[in-house]
Amino acid sequence: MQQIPEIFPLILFYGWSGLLIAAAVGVITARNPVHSVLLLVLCFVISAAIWLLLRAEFLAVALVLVYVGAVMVLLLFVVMMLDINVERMREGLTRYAPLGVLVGLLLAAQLSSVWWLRRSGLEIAAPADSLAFEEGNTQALGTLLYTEHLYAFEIAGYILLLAIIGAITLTLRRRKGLRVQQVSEQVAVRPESRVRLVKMKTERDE
Amino acid sequence: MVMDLTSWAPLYPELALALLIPVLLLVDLAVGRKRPAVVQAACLAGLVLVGWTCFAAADGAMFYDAFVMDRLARLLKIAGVLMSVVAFVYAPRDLRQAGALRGEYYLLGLFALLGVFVTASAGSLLTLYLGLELLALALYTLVALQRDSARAAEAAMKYFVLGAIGSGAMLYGMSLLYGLSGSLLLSETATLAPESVGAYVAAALVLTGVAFKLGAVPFHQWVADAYDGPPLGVAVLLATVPKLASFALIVRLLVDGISASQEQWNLLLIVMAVASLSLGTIVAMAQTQAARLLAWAAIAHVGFLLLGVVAGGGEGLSAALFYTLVYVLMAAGAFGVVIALEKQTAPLDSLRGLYRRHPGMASIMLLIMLSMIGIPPLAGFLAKWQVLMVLVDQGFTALAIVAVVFAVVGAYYYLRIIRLMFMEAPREQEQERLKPGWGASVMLGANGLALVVIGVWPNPLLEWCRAAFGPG
Repeated sequence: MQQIPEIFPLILFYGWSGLLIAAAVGVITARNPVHSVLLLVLCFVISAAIWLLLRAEFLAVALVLVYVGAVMVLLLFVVMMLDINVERMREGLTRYAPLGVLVGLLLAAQLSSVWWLRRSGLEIAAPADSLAFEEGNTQALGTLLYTEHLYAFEIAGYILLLAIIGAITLTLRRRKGLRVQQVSEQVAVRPESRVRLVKMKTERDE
Repeated sequence: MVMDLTSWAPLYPELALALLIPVLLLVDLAVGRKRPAVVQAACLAGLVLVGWTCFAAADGAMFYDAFVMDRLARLLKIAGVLMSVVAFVYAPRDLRQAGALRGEYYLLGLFALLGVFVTASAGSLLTLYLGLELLALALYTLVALQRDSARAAEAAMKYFVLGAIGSGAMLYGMSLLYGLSGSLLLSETATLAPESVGAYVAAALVLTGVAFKLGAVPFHQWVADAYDGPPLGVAVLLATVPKLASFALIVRLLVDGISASQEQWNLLLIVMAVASLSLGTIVAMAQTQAARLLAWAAIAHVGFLLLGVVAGGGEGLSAALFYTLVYVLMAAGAFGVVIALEKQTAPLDSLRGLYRRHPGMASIMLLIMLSMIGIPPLAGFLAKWQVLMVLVDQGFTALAIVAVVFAVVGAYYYLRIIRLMFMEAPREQEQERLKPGWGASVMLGANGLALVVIGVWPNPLLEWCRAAFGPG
């Protein structure tokens, strides 16, 4: 009974993971930066799908909304607006390769240490039981956010308000000679001041 | 579910202030550009109401203990409202000259005050950090408010970068505390076993963050620039209101939150206190700008109040609280006088002959300077006396002697100001009589009077400070 349904998610997991790795390799090897960004979007979408397998639907939705919906679109705009010489950027690839290999090895060591600790029988942390909440974790998070952490949530809202006011205060300039729209003048304008009817003698071809 | 309004009683001050901010935003939008005085009046009137709610609010904890209203929080909130009122009365004159008088100044000041409120009432790591960030973000923006000034921009950049490093260190420590104890509540992180390496690292990082916020040596580099770079009207706010949040931070995070490792951080605190006292006092002697002198003096004063925390216990903390309250009063007054000089950047020389230009103001500055030195019967004397008494009681006699030595050394630069004001003639280009305006005059008078009254009749405030740390 347990065996058959577990095969299907396993196939999905390995299939998506393979795609994810392929897309990630594509991000760093694509010649066109726009292709890189689009492949990165694909990475995020596949990661979201893998999270869905873990029944972390809130994380999956947040990842797509925040990263794909906002951050990646912004990045795409930046990449499209800048005239980047890709070949010039690639010049440093071999120079930085040792550093990249070092970072890669460190990451691999960290990942394998987790696997090794798990094998040695050390209980690191209880695996998240996503079925603990009957209503799904989006609702559970919402309940927590609007009861226990309501105060912190509201203060975070005030921090955002402060950020808006601060950013506008520091950037909005009222210079002289700026060509801004004067709505009141536009509304108050009278036809006489714009159109002048001139009486002329009709001219005829002789 | 029927909402019972009285169950929100501990939250009244925050609610009132959170309501005042959007109201003032609209007032500023409606009339701010034509009549900045209306915005100021609305802000002061609103603050009076907020101050009243501080008295009216009930004691109690809310939101699963993430919010705590107790005597300490109430005292700090009332002091915060008072200092904001004082700053908002002094500041406009200077800001108008600097071309930075906009409604946003009051708005950002109120945001900073809300940050002080949240920090003072924090019962969990999360609310504590959010309160501090609210305060810090408002202050970064205030320092950069005078946009066309390179000095203000430089100060804001330094303050922002160093403040962000401090916040980062503190946040790292907090995340370790949370990871080790499994709880955000300060009452539960306090029970963390002090022997583990993680707890040591967490305590060290948290202490680093606290020292950054306080401006204690060796994390003091931002102080002088942050005081001197922006207009003096911003500096007066910067020198007073955040100090209250810093004190709340010490009590909530160090004394309550990581009390288990007190022996370890007390040692670090002693080192920082002595370093702040010595470096602050010595460097202040070499300053020629009034704001920079006050900044270095502030570092020395931070050292003094840390000594109260080192002595520990209810007595030590109430002495440190009393010191903090008296200090912000003195700092506000000193900046008030410097603002009244109507100098964009006030070199100490512009205090020359102040007695001939305005005897009243010179007398108030005299009171403030004598109080800063610690001459009886002024408030500054009692504040120092309290800290020294507790130190000796707790067996830190050597520290008390060091503190007295640097207090005497520090008298040099305060006395120099007094000599400049009373015994020298005004500079040739500054002969005319000063007209500080009636609002600032009344406030300066009240400020000077408060130092005398607290000095002669300190018991109500002292009792209040003791009650904040007393049982029940």
